[in-house]
Parts: sequence; C-alpha cells; structure tokens
Amino acid sequence: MTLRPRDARAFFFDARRRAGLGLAVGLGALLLTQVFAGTKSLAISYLAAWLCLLALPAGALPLVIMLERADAWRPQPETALLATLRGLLALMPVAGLLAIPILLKLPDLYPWARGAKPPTTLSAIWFSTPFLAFRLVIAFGAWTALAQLFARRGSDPFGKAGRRDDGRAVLGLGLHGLIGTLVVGDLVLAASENFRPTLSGLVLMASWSCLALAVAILAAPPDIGPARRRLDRLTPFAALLTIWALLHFIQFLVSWPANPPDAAAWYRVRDSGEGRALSLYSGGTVLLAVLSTRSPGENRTRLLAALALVAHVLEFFWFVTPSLRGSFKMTLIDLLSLIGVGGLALALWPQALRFFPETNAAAATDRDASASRS
Amino acid sequence: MLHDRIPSGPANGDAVIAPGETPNGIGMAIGRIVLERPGGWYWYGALAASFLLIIAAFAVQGAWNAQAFTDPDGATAAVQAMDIACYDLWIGIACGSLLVSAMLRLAEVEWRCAVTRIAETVAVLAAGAALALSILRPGWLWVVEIGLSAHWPIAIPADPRAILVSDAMGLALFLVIALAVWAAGLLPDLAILRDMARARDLAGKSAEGRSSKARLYGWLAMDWQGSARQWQVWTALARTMALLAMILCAALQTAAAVRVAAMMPQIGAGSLLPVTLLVGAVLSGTGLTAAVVVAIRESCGLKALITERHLDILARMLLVFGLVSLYGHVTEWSATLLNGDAAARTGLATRFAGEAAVPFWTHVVCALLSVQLFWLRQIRRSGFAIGCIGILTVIGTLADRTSLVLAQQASMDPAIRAGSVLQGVAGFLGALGIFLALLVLSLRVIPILSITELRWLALLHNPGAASAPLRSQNVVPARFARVVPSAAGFLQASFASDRALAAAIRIATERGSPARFAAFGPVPMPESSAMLRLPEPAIADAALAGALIGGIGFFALCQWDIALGPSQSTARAVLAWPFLVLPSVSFAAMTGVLAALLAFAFEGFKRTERSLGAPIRSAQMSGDRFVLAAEWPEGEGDSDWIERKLSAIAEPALRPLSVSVQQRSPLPESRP
Repeated sequence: MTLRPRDARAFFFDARRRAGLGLAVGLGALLLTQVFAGTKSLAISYLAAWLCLLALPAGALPLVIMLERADAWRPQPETALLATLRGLLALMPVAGLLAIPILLKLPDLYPWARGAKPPTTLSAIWFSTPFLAFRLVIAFGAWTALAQLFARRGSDPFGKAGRRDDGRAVLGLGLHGLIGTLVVGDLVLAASENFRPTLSGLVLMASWSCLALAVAILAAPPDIGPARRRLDRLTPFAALLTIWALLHFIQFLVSWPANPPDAAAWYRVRDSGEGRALSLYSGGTVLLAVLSTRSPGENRTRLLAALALVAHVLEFFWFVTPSLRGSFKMTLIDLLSLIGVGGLALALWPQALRFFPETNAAAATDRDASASRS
Repeated sequence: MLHDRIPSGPANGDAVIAPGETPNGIGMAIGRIVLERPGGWYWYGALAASFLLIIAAFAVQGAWNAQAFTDPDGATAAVQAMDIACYDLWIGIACGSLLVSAMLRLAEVEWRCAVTRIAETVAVLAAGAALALSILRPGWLWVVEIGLSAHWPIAIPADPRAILVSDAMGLALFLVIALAVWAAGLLPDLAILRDMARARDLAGKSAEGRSSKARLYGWLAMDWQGSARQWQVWTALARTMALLAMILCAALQTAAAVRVAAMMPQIGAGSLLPVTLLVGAVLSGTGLTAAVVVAIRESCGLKALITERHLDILARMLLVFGLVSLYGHVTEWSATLLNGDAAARTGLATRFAGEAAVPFWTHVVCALLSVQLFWLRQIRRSGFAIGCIGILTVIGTLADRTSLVLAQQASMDPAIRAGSVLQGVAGFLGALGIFLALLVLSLRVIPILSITELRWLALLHNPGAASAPLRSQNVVPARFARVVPSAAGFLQASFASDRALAAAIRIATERGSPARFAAFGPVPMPESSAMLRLPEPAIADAALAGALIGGIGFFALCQWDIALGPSQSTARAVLAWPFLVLPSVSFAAMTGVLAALLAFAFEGFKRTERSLGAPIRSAQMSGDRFVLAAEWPEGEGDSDWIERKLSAIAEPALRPLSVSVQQRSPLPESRP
C-alpha cells in the first residue's frame, strides 16, 4: 500500500510512536558512534551533546522567571513564547537521567578521574566520584523542583495568579545560578587540565539561555494582540546575545595582557580554523541581531534564532572537546552524538511530562485555543 | 512607550503615587523647592558641613601627598594606588547610578518616575567628585601633556601612563553622556519652571518685571512648548540616550575592572573579577541613590510622591545586586581555594587573615551581608534603614577596593601602607563633601524629581483628581495677530486627556480640513501623535550612524597611531586590538549621543510648530490640559464646523473643557 506524504508524516509524528522512534534512532546513533569511534570519542561527543540538551531546560528556567516578573504587570494572557519556555522545563529530569552515562565514563573525560595530582587538598576531596555523584543528584533534584515550580501557570483570569512573588523569583534565580555554576565547574571546566576560568559559569549559563530562547522563538506560534506583543521577541533575544558575547570577550580580555601559559594553551587548542570561523560567525550573528532590532519582524527573528541556535550548539562542542581532543573540529561523530542524545530525550519526554501535568494540560489548552481561533 | 503601560492598581501592590495627587499639585510641590527661598536651617547646615568636610579631608590628603613626593620609591606608589582605588569608587558610583537609571527607563517601569532623576543627579555629581579627585591626583598635568601629544598609551592596560590616560578619557566621555542624559530629561521640567516663574512674576511676586529665575529657565528651556512632536522626539531621545549610557557604563567599568585584574596578578584575579567589580559599582551606585532618595523624601516633604512602595523597590534592588555581588565573590574565593596556584592562595589568605583583613571583612559585612536584612519586610519599608544600608554599601565597596590594593602591597612598609589607607579615606571623605555640597546646591536649581513623569503617573493613576473644567475664558492672548500673522483663523480647544485630544483630532480632520493642526500637552501624547500621523523620529537612526562612525573611526585612529607610534610596529597594532574595543565602544556611545542630540534639535524645534504653540503657552501653566490648536490660511476656514462638532461630542470623558475661536476681523468668542 502506498502512503500519501501527509499520512506518512502523521504516522511518524504520532505522539504514541514518537517515544519508540526516538529510542530507536538515539540508541542506533550512539551505537554507530561507539562502533566507529570507540568509547572515549563517544564519551567526549556525548558530553558536548548532553550540554546542548541541558541547555534547553536550564536555559529556559531563568527566562521563565524573568518573563513572569516582567509580564506580571500586564493583565493579558501569557505569551506563546513564555508557554513554550515553560514546556522546555519538562526536559530537566530527562537531562538529569541522561547525565548518568557521563558518571560512568569519568576517566575518559576528566584528568582527576585518571589520577592527576590535585592542585589543593580541597580539590582532592571535591573531585572524587562519590562526592561528584552526590552533588549531581542534589543539583538535578533541586533543578527539577524549580522546573516543576515554575512550569505551573497561574489561574484565571490572566494566568498570572501567584506570580508576583519577588522572593520566589530571587530565590529561584539565585539557586539556579548556584547550581549552574557548580555543574559547569564539575562537568565542563574540570575537563581542562589547569585553566578553569571562573567566568565560564556565567558564560555557559548565558549561552544556555540564548539557546533555549532561540528554540522557543522557533517553536512558539505567533502571538496575537498589539504589535508590541507580537514583535517584541527580537529585542530581548538581541540583548541576551550581546550579554553572552560581552562575557566571552571579558574572559578573553582578562587573559590577554598577562598571557599566562595555562590560559594561552586553553585558547590555543581552540584557535583552529574552525574555531576562528565559529568566532566570526557568532560575532556576525550578534551584530546582525542588534542591527535588526531597528526593524523587527517575525521571519527575521526566526532566522536569527536559527543562526544563533547553530552558533550555540557549536559553542558547546568548542568549550568541551578541544580540552580532550587537542583541537576544535566538528566531526560526524559529534553529529551522531547529537542525534543520539536528541533521540533518547524524545523517548524519555513523555515519561518526564508525567511530572509536569500542568505543562501538559496547558499545552493541550493552547492547542485547543489555537484550533478554535483558526 | 510610556502609555503602553498598564497601571498597577491596589490589587498589584501599594500605590506608586499618593491618591489625590494632581498634575498641578505635583508641579507646585517640586517647583517650590527650586523657586522659593531655602527654608530651614538644615539646608545651610548641610552646606556648611559639606564645605568643612572638603577642607578637612583635603588638608589631610595634601599633607600625605606632600610626604609622598618626598619618598618617591615607596609612599608615592602606595598613595597613588589608593588614589586610583578612591577614584574608581566614585566613577563606579557614577556608572552604577546612571546604569540603574538607564535600565529603569528602558524597562519602562512606572515606579521609576520618582527615582530616575535622583539617580541621574547622583551620577553627574559623583562624576564631579571623581573629577575633583583626579585633578588632585599627582600627575594630572602629565595627563594633559600626554593628551596633547601625538601618541596615547591606551592599549597597554598595566602601564601607569595608560591608566591615567584611560581614566581621563573615560571620565570625559562619562561627563559628556551623563550631562546630556541629565539635561535632556530636565528639558520639559525647565519649561515648567519657566512658566511657573513667569506666573509668579505676573502675580506680582517680582516687583521689577521678569525675574532672573524666569529669564534663566526661559533660556535653559530652549523654547520648549510641549507639542506632540516635541514629546514624541523627546521620548525617542530619552530611550536612545538611556541605551547609549548603559553601553558606556558597562564598557567603562569593564575596562577599569580588566585593568585591575591585569595590574594585580598577586591577588589571583580570575576572569569573574570584572563582572564582580561592575556589580559592586552598581551596588554602591544604587546604595548612594537610595540614601539620597530617603534624605530628599524626608527633608523636602515629598512622601506623597516617593511612597513606601519606592522604598520597598529600592531595598529589593539593593538585595538583588548584593546577592549577585555575593555570588561573584564567593565563586572567586572558592575557585581560588579549589584550583588556584600558590600565589593566588597567598593573596586570598592576605585578605582573609593578613594585612588586608580589616578592609576585607568590612566589605563582607557592609556590602555583602548588610543588604541581606532586606529579606525582612519591615526593614524594606524603613527609610532610615534603607539610608543607612545604602551608605554602608558605599563604605563596603571602598573597603573592597582597599583590600585589593593592600593585598597587592603586602610586602610594603606597614607605616606607609597605613598612611596610604588614611590618605585614601581622606580622599573619599573630601569627594563626599564635594558631592554633598553639589547636591545641596542642585536642590535649589533643578527639580530633583521629574515633574513631567510624575504628572504622567498622576494622570494615569488619579484621573479623577484633575482640575475642574475651565470656565468660559479666552485663552488665546491678544497678541495672537502678531504671533500668527499668516493665519486668518485660530481655534484652540483643551481636553482632559490624551485620549480625548486624539478623538478631537480625528473629528477635526475627518473632512479633510485645510487647517494646520498641532497638539500640546503636559506629558507625552502617543495617541494624539498617531492621530496627527506624525512621522517616526529619526533619533535612533542618527544615534546608530553617529556611534558607528565614531567607534570605527576611533578604533582605526588608535590602530594607526600604534602602527606609526614610537615602536612603529604593525604587529603590535594587530595584537593591541582587544584593548581598543572597549575604548572604541565608549567613544561610539559618546558620538551616538551627540548625533542623537543634533537630531533632537533639528526635529524637535521646527519653526512651524513654534508659531502655533506660542499663543497657548499660558494655557500650559495649568499643567493638566491637552490642547488642540489649529490655524487656517487666509480665505479658507471651517472653524465653525469643527467647533460645532467638538461641542457636540456626547461622551463626557471626551468632551472639550473649552473651545475658543478667533477670526482675524471679529472679536474672539469662547465657549465652555
């Protein structure tokens, strides 16, 4: 029997089959990586790909908190952008579960797990497998609790009830900053032998938020209402990209005058042709986003979001892989790892949604509302 | 735009303006502080105390400076380091205040109205204090010498000459932009003061014609009339300059912090230090602004305009900045303890329990822990507590800078080190005296709260509190024929709101009238501007073009200078590019501001609107009227038709408060 394209799409994207399909594709891609590149290469690529997945919920969390606070003054239904970001929070337990393979491959990723001499006594205690596992359990437990808390929308009439609590927002942002810095230090910076720039926590958290916002802009349906409400997605996006670029620049600039050997080595392995191309591409994207704020439009915003999405995915590989491979170069293995992690996340997504019933229900309501409007 | 905001009613928290506050009342309450003689001993007392502080502090500093010059090997270095720390504190306060003001303006939060003017004033005055410090700093003449020379050592961050040059350049750029932001925000308020001073003159307060204050404010207000076009352009200017000011502050503070990190390898400064210092500057700027807000609220009797809600919000801001600062410091310390090398750990130990322990713990207690009291609601509502904690954050930030300097000078003679600290504290107190003296004097010259923005807030929150409709009166002055010589007829109608005015414009223009229309009001009028189909102002485009030209030009000039300088090194020029980025961004912000000001002068003061606005300036004095003005050319006119249509508006909220028509020949008539 020949299926028409519409039916084929409906078959593969049916929510009931999506999990199974994701599991098959994900495991297949990771298996291919394992066969062709070996365990160590798989572990390195997997860590970078997992960071891309973590960026979605961990980047969405501060954005949801800030958008909630900013929108609290407007008595109107929350925007589709905010609703989409809330939906991304449901990926937090998925990211937590998919961190387990990293714990199993610590010696392939971190010098301290291979027995390198710790610089301080505190470092020897801090970087031990049980303590790291304990910290990660605590971190993802707290992150998931925060995600559950902020995934809930308020009740009628404007979906804002209970969202004016500054204490909750400050505590949420503070806790997120603390956990994010810890996770970056434990899983990303620790891959480097000596140079661990303290600003990297903020750089990566800004990068997560940029990536989450880019995905939300691409995925969220257009908002209805006045022009300001519909089109005002580009300005915060451009501002966030600018902050991210500024943080990267500061990190580079602080290391530049003294030029310590560790910092120079860290940047040297990332200074390949691809690395420079990525820097130029990212800088160009930021500049384009800033200039585009003069005449924002929906299509332009989506295009810029797509450009930024590519830049940030590549950035996570730029951050992680050169410390372990000796240079920055995107390979087919990296692409397969991305597909693998994405497939596994898709497979676990329906299970995770059980912990976020309100997000699930809100998504269904939005779909119904969109259908009735159309 | 201002009017896009939804008012926060009682359900959304406490009021940001007291119920019953009217536009007229606000103008009188703030205007009297400037126009009336200073009452009360506290004004003179504060002025005297400020001058005493200046004299005492600079006497101490002068003595130490003299000693420093006698010992060039040791004391000079110590004194100069403390000088730089003290200067950095004041320019940090200035940047922090301006940054907060700009952020609030761009975020368009409505409670900003009672805070932004004070924050901008604090920024300008703190920059003045920094200027005084830099003039008193040994070596400022040398900066002039370098400035006049062909080659500037901008690209060498740890070079002492580069520090002086970049400080001088940064301060000059900051002063230009801060003064521009401040003056642009003041413009409508100066026009209100001009009208109030003239009204007082007319009422016989000034025996001999127009008083000096009326003349001064008339000159400073640059013939501002409050037309819809002027408000439209002014709003665009304010937002554009806020953005540029924010960029400048971030660039200046980042450059200064990078320089500190480069200068102090002994303290193991990580890459987070620039962000931590930037946040510290914002914290101290907000702290000083909060203290000044509380002082003005209490001393000038402005509790109805600066409400408990404002105090609460300022406290929350201090808490948030304090938490971010705490995050930065704790991350730096823990990273040093975990991964730092021996030198970095020694530097940290010096700060924890060594020579720099006292200022270090002073910083922790005053700047990082004191703000945690704002978790308590009672403390957030206490003006006294907010004022005290605001001052503590400034002291804590000074202590932080001092501890960095002392950690670097751990091997120095203790006597010289102690002397340098005393000298630094004296410099700080002297600058504080200058700041206070300027603040007390500025209270008598400028409106310390934005009358315009508070009027907008009053119209938004207390619409029923506006003045009663005007009685039948002829608001077109007798000099009409002289001011509008080309017109055959002139219509003027006043309304209670922008919405009513916009509805009137729609009615008046629906038949394709040959008349020329203009709208005037006490606050920005987005609805009327839209109805008049005013073109979008080109302020932002002009600023962008100016910034691009200025920034790229400055960068290219510096590269050229390095390549052709004493070292004649193209390679060095290429390597220096990272250090030129931030100065170029700062310079771009300044040229952007200048371009925006030029565009504002060109677009906001068109001759055609001035001729229409001149006859109705007297109506502006009432402060809550939105006025429609129309003139007809000779031989054409449908003023009667428009008058009939306006008088027939049924909805009470949209009805005109008064309509006046004047033809060239017949006598003017008016109707309520």
